[in-house]
Amino acid sequence: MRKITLIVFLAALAAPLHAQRLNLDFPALAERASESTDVTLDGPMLRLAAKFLNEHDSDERQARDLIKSLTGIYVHSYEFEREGEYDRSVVEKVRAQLGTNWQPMVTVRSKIKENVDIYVDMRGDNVAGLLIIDAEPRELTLVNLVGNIDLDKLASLQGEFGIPHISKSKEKERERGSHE
Amino acid sequence: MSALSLAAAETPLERARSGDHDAFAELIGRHEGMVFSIALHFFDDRTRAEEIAQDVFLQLYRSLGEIESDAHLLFWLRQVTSRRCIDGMRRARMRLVSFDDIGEVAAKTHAPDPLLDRKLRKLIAGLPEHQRIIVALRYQEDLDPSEICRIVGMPVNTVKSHLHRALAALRKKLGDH
Amino acid sequence: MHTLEDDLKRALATQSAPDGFAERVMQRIDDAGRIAGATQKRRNPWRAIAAGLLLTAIAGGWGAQKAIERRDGERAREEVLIALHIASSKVRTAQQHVYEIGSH
Repeated sequence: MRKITLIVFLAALAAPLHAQRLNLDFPALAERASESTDVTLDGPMLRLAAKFLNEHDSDERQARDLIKSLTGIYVHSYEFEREGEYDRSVVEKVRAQLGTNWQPMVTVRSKIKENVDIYVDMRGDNVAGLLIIDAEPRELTLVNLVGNIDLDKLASLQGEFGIPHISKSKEKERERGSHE
Repeated sequence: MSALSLAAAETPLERARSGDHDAFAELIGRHEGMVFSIALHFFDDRTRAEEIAQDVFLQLYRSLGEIESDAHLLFWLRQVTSRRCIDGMRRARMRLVSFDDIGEVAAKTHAPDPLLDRKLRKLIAGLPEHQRIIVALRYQEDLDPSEICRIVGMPVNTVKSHLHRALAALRKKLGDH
Repeated sequence: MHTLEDDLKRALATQSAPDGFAERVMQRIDDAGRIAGATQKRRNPWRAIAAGLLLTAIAGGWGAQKAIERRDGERAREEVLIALHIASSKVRTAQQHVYEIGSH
């Protein structure tokens, strides 16, 4: 009995050291999708990618900073021809994998647009993982980043999409409001 | 004018023509993005784009004596890159993704989709070769048909026709109304 | 109004050449110069040819290895950027909703 207790105790201590990679691979979804994007990058591939990210490009430099502390990036995005074509229970199957260390950070619910859930894997004060579930009527995107993530840096990654930074657009809205 | 001030007045192009390797490296630095991007947008393949871009600059190194001015250099680079892209595609043995193989893509009318640019580039890389290079020169380099026709060596109406057909094909695939 | 032309300009924006591009071009120029110089010195042509073939085989093998690494690295780079951009846009969407709720 004492031996079993010791093993359980040691296992409990060890658990927080291993950040969790989630299973986001649902072959049935990919078969039904009209288009799918799959990215699976573990430690060695991330280190290889870092060598090829251009330090003279601000976007790629930011990306390189972000992936320094990651051990895995897993993205699966599926697009469908029609609404309701994918089984929403997949979302529950993903959530069912989340242990007590996973905490919901943001939950967005919309009847007509997308439902977005963001969870973080907290180990003490450190973020050890990120899960994003974005369920739209015709698109499902699952993102799992494993490792220490700076969410503000992630959100500020502009890329070639030119999406204005949120705080700037909020400032513009305030300015418009004050002139009315 | 003193020898020192004369040397200072020389442009990187002039110095490169005199055999100055640092000046040639500076020319590469100035134009590598443009050359690489034309090839990248043609092939949608970074490795191939770099091969083409390296060959273009090697050819430039051998042809420096023919380049008369900075404006001529820009024209020359666009023209040689375009030709090498089209020749490279013709020589390639691998099967290219045909335009018809790329499935219908749903249009998004709200905020830009992170995957839309990638889809667009794939669709462009599936266009017939002349349409592809003309779209790249039009939208990457912001050239109008009268400038593009000199680069690709076609009548301006042919360029306009290729552009029109390319846009129509892209719109059809993207489902715009 | 958002048009296809706007999407094309954005999708086809000029990108930076890969890191070290200029150095690789200059290296090829230097190599071409060395090979051109070396071919002028020829005492024993057969020895030179054998040495040249051996060097080409070694360089070819090394070059092929480098080309594979480059291809894999470029692919990994592209996948990292796609993945991070997708994640970033979703986080921003969620942040936007939080700000909108906060401003009511």
